[in-house]
Formats: sequence, structure tokens, C-alpha cells
Amino acid sequence: MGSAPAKGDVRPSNRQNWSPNVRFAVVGAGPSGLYAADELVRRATAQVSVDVIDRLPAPYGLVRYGVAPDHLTIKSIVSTLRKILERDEVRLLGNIDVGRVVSADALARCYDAVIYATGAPLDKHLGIPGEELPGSHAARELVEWYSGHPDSYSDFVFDNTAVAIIGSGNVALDLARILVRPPEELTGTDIPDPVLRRLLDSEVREVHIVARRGPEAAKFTPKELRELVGLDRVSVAVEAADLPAEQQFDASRNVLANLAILRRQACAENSHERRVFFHFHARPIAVEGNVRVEGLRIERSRDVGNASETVIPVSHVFRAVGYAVGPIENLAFDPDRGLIPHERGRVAREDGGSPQYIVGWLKRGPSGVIGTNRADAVETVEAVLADLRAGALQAPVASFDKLLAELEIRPVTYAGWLGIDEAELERGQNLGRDRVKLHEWPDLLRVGLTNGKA
Amino acid sequence: MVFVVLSACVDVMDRSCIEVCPVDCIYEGGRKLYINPTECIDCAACEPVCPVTAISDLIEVPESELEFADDNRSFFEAILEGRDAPLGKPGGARDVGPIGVDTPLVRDAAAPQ
Repeated sequence: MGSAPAKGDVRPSNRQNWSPNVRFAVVGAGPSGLYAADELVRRATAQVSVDVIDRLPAPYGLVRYGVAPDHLTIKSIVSTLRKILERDEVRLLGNIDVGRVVSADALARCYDAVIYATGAPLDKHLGIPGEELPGSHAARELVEWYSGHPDSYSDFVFDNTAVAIIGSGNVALDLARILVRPPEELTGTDIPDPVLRRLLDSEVREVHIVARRGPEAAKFTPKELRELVGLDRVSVAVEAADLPAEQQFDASRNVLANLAILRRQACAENSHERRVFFHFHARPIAVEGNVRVEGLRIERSRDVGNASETVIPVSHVFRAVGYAVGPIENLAFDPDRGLIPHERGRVAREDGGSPQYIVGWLKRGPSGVIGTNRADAVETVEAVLADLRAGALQAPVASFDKLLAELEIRPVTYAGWLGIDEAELERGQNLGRDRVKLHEWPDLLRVGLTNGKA
Repeated sequence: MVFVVLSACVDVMDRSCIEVCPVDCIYEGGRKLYINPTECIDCAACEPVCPVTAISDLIEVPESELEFADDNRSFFEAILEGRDAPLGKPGGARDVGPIGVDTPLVRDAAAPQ
């Protein structure tokens, strides 16, 4: 918050004589992992250390690589999260892929307890013909592209006027907004430069949002919907017949607010060239096209017994139908429920070893807002600390720093991340913008591994 | 825009909102909670969890509640009873703890029916 000097610059040397009694690791430096780290430090009675390990060189998870670039106020949550990374007890170790370069077992031997906060990294599929055609993508591919994720090798060229988005959650609205809003409005964001250039050249003027059920079942929040309909120079259209009759049922506050916004839109003028169309009660049947996407076939099911099929001509189909949790080494996965069974965040080991812990989307599935992770982290950390007090945890028998040295793995520390941060601000200045993300592994590592003194 | 705590919170202070605020910007007075408008990141996490629907997006506040909406700001910008400086931007309610006093508007508000 601008008050304290950047502690990250000096802390690594302070840590030389740091000898905590209890060592924790958190895998995943997104909000849920960082809130868990914070609670471990705040709630533990012993002197503790927390290593926050991430696969990427940059922390903050979906705040950096999921929250849309034009949601600048939400991104400012970073100033809260960075205070957690700047705690004396907390250390960031980026660029370490647990499960690939370091095994979960090797990690467990170095700590009293390990909390996994690795989120929901898989995409749900529709299971309809044509889903694998070029031009048909999971929402994540577009999100990672416009967020400058270093694993994104996509390049989206939008040389057609219409695209379709399947889904009715906030991710669907994010994609719609980024694709339809006048791209000049994105120059104030941290969006990578090649992405911005593609959007400036984009021919997209029509975004079709296709939802299987009615607006009363939509998952998006009124705040996001309000933002979409409030965009300058963009019309948002919905058919009045798709909306339920007023006060037809007892709905939640969010649903009532959504319906009120959509009712206003049903009567609104659609005078702008840039347009969003909501198609409710529309079941996607097939992605059409020979060598690439040419259309999305939908079945309108509003009137029971009177379904009709139509094809919306589009060049791209994005499915924003949800993320999914996948199996993790040593954590028993229930494939039917798509979740890791746990008890208040504690995952018992089948082999009778020390329990392990989960938090965030990995624990709850992909739902809730950033703030949901705070109460969630409290629950998991309470489980860890209860086990610690009960003597159920095995003390570490190895040093993680030694292990990293043996494996010749160089972590990106918090100081390294500050170097990346600084380089991004500098790159932004050179391009007349506030910040422009480093979006390629070599750049991130070159800057991040030289502690920012590239 | 930001979110604000309105009059329905007076003498209720359920605090569910405090648990879900990702930036810990909801502060506790004597009779009511207050959202710090300079710390709020407008994420809307607090709004649906309030059992008495006391939280609203500032742009959605009904006219009858505008005074209470604006009063959230006063809590941080005015000098509260027994203090010699405004609270300002403390950077997290948890580290500050309950403030224990209210703005004059809330202090003198009638008890809810």
C-alpha cells in the first residue's frame, strides 16, 4: 500500500538465520494458497515458516491469469495478497512444478504439513460433434491468451464478424466483453501487446451467448451483467419471450436482479454495430464446419414439444461451461464426483502416512468468488493446526533447499518476482501504458532468476 | 463504484461479510459495520452473504438510504468520538480490531423495530 519499503529486497538475507519450529508448504500461490499461508502464520502458536510454491515464475494465480484485464479494481486485490508474501515467515518459491520436477513424497518429507491449492486446471467438455474443430476452444484458451499466460501458445485471429460463447456464468460474460468491447478501451490494461494488436484488428461485431437453460438458471452475477449491458457503443439483446413471467417463482436476490436487468434489455434499442445476443433455452447440438468452425447448431427448446433447430454462423465457438478438478499425486481422487474427498480440508492417506491438506477450488470445486477462499482457508488451516497439536504430523526429515540444489532447480523468489513486476511496469511505460505483462517463459525466467537485476 | 453497508446492519452486525471480504475492508463500529470506500475493490462478495440485506452496490442504493450510504465514507474520513485523527486507510480491519464507536448518524439512529 505504499507505506512500508519493499521488504522483498532485503528479506532473503534476513532469512539466513531463520529457524522456525514448524515448516509448512503451500502448493499454489493463488488467492486460496496465499490466504492459507496467511492463516497459518496468524493462527499457529509455534514459530512457523511457510514456503509458497508455484509452478509459474509469477504469483497470484487466477488474479493474474484469470481475472479479465479490464477488471482493474479486482486486480488491485494484489496489494492485499502481496502483504502475505512480504511476511517474514513466508517465502515464495516460483518455477517449481510439484509432481513433475519434485515428487509429492519428496515434498512431504521436507515439511510438517503440505497444503495443496492448485485449483481446477481441467476443462469440461460438451460432448457434441465438431467440438474438436479448429476454431472451437475451451474458454480457458482465450482467457490464458488474453491474460498473457506463459503456457498459452494460442494466437487468435478474428477475421469474421460473429463468434459464439456457450455458457451462462461470469466467464462467459468475461469472454463476451473482451471480444465485443471497442478494443481501444483495453489499452489501459496489462494485456500483452500481441494480444492487443489482434483485438484492435478484430472483425468481431456480434457475440452470441448460448445457454441451455433459461436466465433464471444463469450463474453470472448481476454486477457482471450490469457491466456488460453498460458498455459504451455495445448493444445487448435478449428476447422477451425467453424471460420468465414476472414474480413467477421465488428466486434468489441475484436471479431477481439479473432478470430485472434482462427485462430492461428486452425493450432496449439495438442501435450499435457491436452487439451481444443472449440465446436462452438453446441447446448446442453440433459445431458445424468442414475444416474449421463455420457455425453452431442449436436447438431452441423454449416451447416444450416445439423444438426447432437453427445454425448461428460463427467463426469461433468458446465453451465456458466450467472448469474441473483433476487427480493429484498421492491424493485419492473420486472420478465420479470429480473431487478429492476430504474432511474440512484434511485428506487422509490410504497408506496410513501423515494426512495432506487441500484448499480453494481444489477442495470446493470451481465455484465462489475470491473472498470465498478466506473462510475456506481458515477451515483447512484449523484442520492442519489441530493435527499438529494432536501430534499427528511427522516432523520434516529433509531440507527442501538442499533438495532443490541437488536437483539443480532454481526457484523464482519474491525478489525475483519483484524484478518481473518492475520489468512489466517499465515495458508498459515504453509503450505508453501502465503495465504490459511478460508473457513468455524465457523473459519471465531471465528476469525472475536474476533477482530483478537483469 | 464500491459497496456500502446500510441502516439494516445497525444493532445486527452479523459479520458474515467480514469473513468473505478478500481485502478485509469491512470495519466494525459500535452498532454497525462500515465498508472502507478507498479499500473496497468492488468484488461484490459481501452483498449476497448479508442475512439482513444491508449491503448494496453504491449505484443501487435507494434514495431513502443515501444518507447511510454516504456515512460509510464519513466513518473513515471524519474524526470519530474519542480519536484524534480520522481512521483513513488502515489497510485491513483484522489488524486494527473493532473500532467500537460509530458515526453520529449511526450512534443516534433509532433501534431497529
